[in-house]
Amino acid sequence: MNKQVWENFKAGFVKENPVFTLYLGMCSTLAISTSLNNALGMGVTVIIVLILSNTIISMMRKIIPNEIRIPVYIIIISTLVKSMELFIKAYAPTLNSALGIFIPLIVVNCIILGRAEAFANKHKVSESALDGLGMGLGYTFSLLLISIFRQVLGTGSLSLTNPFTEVVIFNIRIIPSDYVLSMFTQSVGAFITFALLAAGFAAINAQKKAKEIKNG
Amino acid sequence: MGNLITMCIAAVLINNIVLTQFLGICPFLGVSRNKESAIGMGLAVIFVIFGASILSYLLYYYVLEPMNIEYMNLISFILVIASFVQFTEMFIKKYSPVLYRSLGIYLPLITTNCVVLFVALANITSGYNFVEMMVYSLSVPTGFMLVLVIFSYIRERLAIAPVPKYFKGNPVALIVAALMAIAFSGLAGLV
Amino acid sequence: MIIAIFISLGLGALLAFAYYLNQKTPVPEGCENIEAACEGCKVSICSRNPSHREVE
Repeated sequence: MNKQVWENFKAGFVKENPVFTLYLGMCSTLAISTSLNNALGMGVTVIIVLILSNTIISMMRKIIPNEIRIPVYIIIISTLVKSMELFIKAYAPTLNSALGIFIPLIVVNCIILGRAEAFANKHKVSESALDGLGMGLGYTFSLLLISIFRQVLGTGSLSLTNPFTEVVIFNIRIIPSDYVLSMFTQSVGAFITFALLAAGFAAINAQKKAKEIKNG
Repeated sequence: MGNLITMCIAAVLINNIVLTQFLGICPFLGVSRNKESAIGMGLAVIFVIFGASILSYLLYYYVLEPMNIEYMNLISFILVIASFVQFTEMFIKKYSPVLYRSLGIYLPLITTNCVVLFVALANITSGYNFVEMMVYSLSVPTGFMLVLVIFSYIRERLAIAPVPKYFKGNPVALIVAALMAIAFSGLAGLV
Repeated sequence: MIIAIFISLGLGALLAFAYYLNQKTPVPEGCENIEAACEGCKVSICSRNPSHREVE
């Protein structure tokens, strides 16, 4: 039982990575991932919403009538997202102006509704919360991959600021500013980065599957 | 009037919702395998966005704002959009099988489409009046449909082209989207 | 605040009602087996999602 739970948890990172393998939740991914700050902010928000929504839906799974479960999920998820949006507006205003309209758009992020439908309404509370954490970490991991790529190639430096106190945590210059490829901060670079990483993940998954078939 | 035309051109070509603002990528990659489904999806999106944003606009300005509960905008908009889609699908099922066959099947997919919620929210945050709101909510999905149809033509060719092994399917489609993004960014100085 | 809860529950009830009616409305004949050329199969609210088919 424990091994199954751990396998589920690990699946969110490469084998069932929500962004690169399942192609869910792409809307926010491409627009947000211009810098490490944005990626971490969005990722942590999605993790919190995922854990809370999975927990609440799992707790209520015996009470919700089966025919109307999706409308109920939508209400729960949109309430959670709105609360997170108000919290971010109050305590991290720079994050709010960077992420902008993408915080409310977490509601229609297919990952959250998809996990609620596929997992949380069939499993216990603790397993659902762990699954939420796993999927959220996988999503954050993908966001970080894309943003590190885009930020380093597009602006030449890697920086992180604490959104609550505006204190710069680190700011490293990797490529001199005369040699940056600014196309990576725009839509072109986002699509190209995403395509290359998606192909990379497809390659890794295919090789893993080939190894499994050879071994077992 | 000139203002409205500028807004329309800006929403369709310059700030294209898919290529510049990255919204609606999920159906963009999912429904663009052939021309017929792309056209069906595009028309369904135009209809849903137009109807749903009028309803959300009226709800916001006649119910939420007079009662000072603007913070309910997210929850009420998503519920209004989802209900509108469900009612539309039910209507089409009952009264027009032809229409159902061509575009009714995409309606449920549009509920979780980022574009609908984005247009509903943007109408409020940009402070449009009623006419501007209607023009905006017709132009944005037209831009979506334009890009989707063009993309489906390209993808039909791509399905039989020699693509490298791990790029088959979505990765090469994203590279094509990148090229389209560069092409459309050349229109940036139009207005 | 109370009105906000009422409005959200009211709209939620409207959505649940519409969703329920929609599930009950039969698909017109001839349309039952359309495999939409779409890959939105990860979207769970879509009525054509395989996860709904397993239930039947």
